Order: sequence, then structure tokens, then C-alpha cells
Amino acid sequence: MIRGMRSLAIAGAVAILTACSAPPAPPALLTPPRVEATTRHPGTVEVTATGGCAPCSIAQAGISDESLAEAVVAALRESGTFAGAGRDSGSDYRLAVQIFRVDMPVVGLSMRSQAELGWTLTEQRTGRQVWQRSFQTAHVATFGDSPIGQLRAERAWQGAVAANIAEAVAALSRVPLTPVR
Amino acid sequence: MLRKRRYLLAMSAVALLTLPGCVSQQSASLTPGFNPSNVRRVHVVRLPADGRGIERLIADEFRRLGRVATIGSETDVPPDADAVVTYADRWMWDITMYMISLDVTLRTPGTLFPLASGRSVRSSLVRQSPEAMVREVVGRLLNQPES
Repeated sequence: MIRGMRSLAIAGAVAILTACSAPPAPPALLTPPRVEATTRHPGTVEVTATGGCAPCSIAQAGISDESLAEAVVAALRESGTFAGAGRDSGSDYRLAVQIFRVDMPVVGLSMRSQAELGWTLTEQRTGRQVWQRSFQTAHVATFGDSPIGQLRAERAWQGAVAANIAEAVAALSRVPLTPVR
Repeated sequence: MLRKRRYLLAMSAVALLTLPGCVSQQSASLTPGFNPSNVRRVHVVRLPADGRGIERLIADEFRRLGRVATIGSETDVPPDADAVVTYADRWMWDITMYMISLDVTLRTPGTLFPLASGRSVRSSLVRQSPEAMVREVVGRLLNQPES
């Protein structure tokens, strides 16, 4: 009886504690499925991200700096916006992405999340800021996306962030950049 | 029997200590190079749908922290404003209505690029008044913890 109670107590404590923090979403869940890029810039770009969390509390959208940067790199590569994109230093440009706001929906059959991310492109050689914009995007996750509320909320903010990446990369592809070499 | 009670007490204590922590969160994201002391005059952009007067609470808090604050729309920002303030408040019902989250963002006049963004999330059990949540967020934005 006592052993059973002990197991129950440990299981309960673990369940409660793990509910308070969650691992960040993998980059694949933040990467937009398709990005409309109009121009391919000849230079290379290094991506950094800030404003994320790891571990993340249950009140936060589970986005780590690493996951966000990887998702942006994947979108840049997929779209071919730059000749090369990665996390390594020594690139022609540095793209700094900062999370300012990602809503966590609480309840609802349809859950809407809004995200605002700031994007700054700097020329590495001169340190000159060549482009800066912030984008506000939203995504609605429906009951069809997941009948489980927690998962539906995750789909909502993941979709809002993916839409933000898609919009920013598309805008970035339209920025007239002078060749750096 | 005594041990059983102890385990139940331990379980309850863990639940009480951790659950409120799960649903109360205050955070801020500052743009690199942002210096709060350079922000002397702010313009709070009132949400058209805001019937609760949150814009007045935010402006009052900036004033309490020594700033000059005006309230208006996005189109009537005073030319000498150092920052434009936008916000988003969300409310829930649990016996009574309460503010579950408040986001406040300081923006560069003109481009509206964020300089700093702060958030307070409080669920029903750890709810606070809108005034207290405004104080939490604005204090973080200006690097002035609640006083």
C-alpha cells in the first residue's frame, strides 16, 4: 500500500514538474513549407536568433534560439534567397532575428496566435545595417489540426512563427543588395 | 497511516508550489543597444476596441516612472516622441473577468520597429489587477523593477 502511494506521489510530482517546462519545438515545426523568393542574392548569410527560451515554461511558446535560427536557415536554403546560409561566422551578411512576441492561446475550438519577430540584416565587413523590419503574423489552428487543446495551441504559435519566417524571407529576397565583393 | 498522510501532504505541497509557477510568467525582450534612459517621451497608441482604459494605465505608469506620456492614435505621434507604445491585452472569465496576459511594446517612431517588448501572463489562480500587470511589464521595459 505504502509502495503504491510512493509510486503515485513520485509519478504525480514528475507529471506536475514536467508540465511546467517543455522542450523547445524542433526547427522542422517552425520552418515554412514554402517561401516565395524573387531574387537570389550572390552573398552568403549567417543567422543568429534571440528572445527564445530553453527550457520553456508552460506559459511560453516553446521556441529556442537554436530552433528558430535553424528554421530560418532552412527557409533561406530552401528558397535560395542567398547563395549560402548557415550558422557559421565568416559570411557576407549577418541576419539577426529577435522574438518580440508570440501569443500562447489558452482555450478555444479554434486557437489564434500572433507573432512579432524583428529582422535585421547587417553587412559583416562594414558593420552597416542594410535592412531592418518587423513582421506581425497570425495563424489559426482548428479542431481539425488537433482535438487536444495543448497540441492545437502549439500548432497555432508554430504556424504564426512559420508564417513570419516566410514573410520575412520573401521580403528579404526583394531587398536590393549591392555585391559585397 | 502516518506515512500515507505524509505522502499526500508532500503531493499537495508540490502541486501548490509548482502549479502557480506554471501559469505566471513575466518576460521582456530588448533590442541590442536599446537604452531605456534615452526614452523620455512616449506616445501610447490606444487600441480602438479598448473600452477598459488600459492605455491610460500604461501612460500613468510611464509618468510614474518619470516619463512624459501622451495618448492617441498611430497617426498623431508627437514629433518629439522617443518611442511609440503599443499593447495587447487578453481577458478570460473565471467567476469574474480577469486579464490573463498583457504585452507592451516600445517602438521606434516612424519605422515602428520594436525597441523592447514585455509580457506578463497570469492565470486565474495568480491573477493580478490590470494596474499591477501594467506595473510589472512597463517596469521591465524601462529596467526599473517594481517600486
